[in-house]
Amino acid sequence: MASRTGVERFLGGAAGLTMLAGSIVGLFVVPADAAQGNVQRLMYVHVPAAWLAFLAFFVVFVMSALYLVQRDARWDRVAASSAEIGVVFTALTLLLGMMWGKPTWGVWWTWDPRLTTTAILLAIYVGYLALRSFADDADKRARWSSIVGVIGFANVPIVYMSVTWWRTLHQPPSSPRSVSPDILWTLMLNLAAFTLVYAYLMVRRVRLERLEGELEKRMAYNA
Amino acid sequence: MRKSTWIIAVFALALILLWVYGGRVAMENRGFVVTGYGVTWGALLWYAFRLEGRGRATARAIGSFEAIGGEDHESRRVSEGHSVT
Repeated sequence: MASRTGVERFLGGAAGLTMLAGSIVGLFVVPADAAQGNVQRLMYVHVPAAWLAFLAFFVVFVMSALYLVQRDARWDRVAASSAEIGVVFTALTLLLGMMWGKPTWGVWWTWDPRLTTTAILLAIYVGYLALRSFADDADKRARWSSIVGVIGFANVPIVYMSVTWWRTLHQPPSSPRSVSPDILWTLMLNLAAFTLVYAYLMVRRVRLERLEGELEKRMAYNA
Repeated sequence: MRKSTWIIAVFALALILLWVYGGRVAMENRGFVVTGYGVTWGALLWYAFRLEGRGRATARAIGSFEAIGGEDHESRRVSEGHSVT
């Protein structure tokens, strides 16, 4: 882990600079929302965090399915890495939503369908990580967690559709035609920044997963 | 000073400056906005540093196995007659 690859350095630098640009534009350049005021600026980090959580869990789903078909440990390593990063993004989504909800709705939390299904999503993938830490045998761990990775993804479309299926306090999904170009471009810039952060963290986390697997093998062999 | 210390110091300074700027322009809900961006950057930096720390600890542990054994896992398998192919 001591020496970083060129790809890692590039992704780290690009992610840091784009995040900085996204935060500067979101905080200082784009005007405050006419209805919500400055608190709407939190949407420039809340929405990308939610999208990246979905992407991370989609990667878990695909890699878990691949593992179950091919039994190749590489797919399991990518799935485990993406799940951990997805948990960070989901926790961030909930925290940022609460910070936006308090001044806008008057409450930190409400058992609204979108909020509740997102909290369940977090619980599923925290459970996925807990399951991995309980299983000692690498094959069993990979098989069990892949099953959870495939089944658990069923909640992602439910979270996305929750604002359409049920009566909810959370606003329905916006489309490029329903928001001003200023807001749209700032959102896109921050989405690009969060995607680069995800890619950077994935490269590093997969490398760590490989190292930890190597250590586990050596420990088992020397036991 | 370590790179992580510098990054945390710059991050803290940026948050203080953002707080002061918010006060000067009378930004409503300044606390929520500053905390939101602070939590975002803080969480991502914390996770990146955590990966760095875990990576270093794992590499050290692997290194200590090599130092104790004097040979790595695969070479021991070969020396004990196991095939690695």
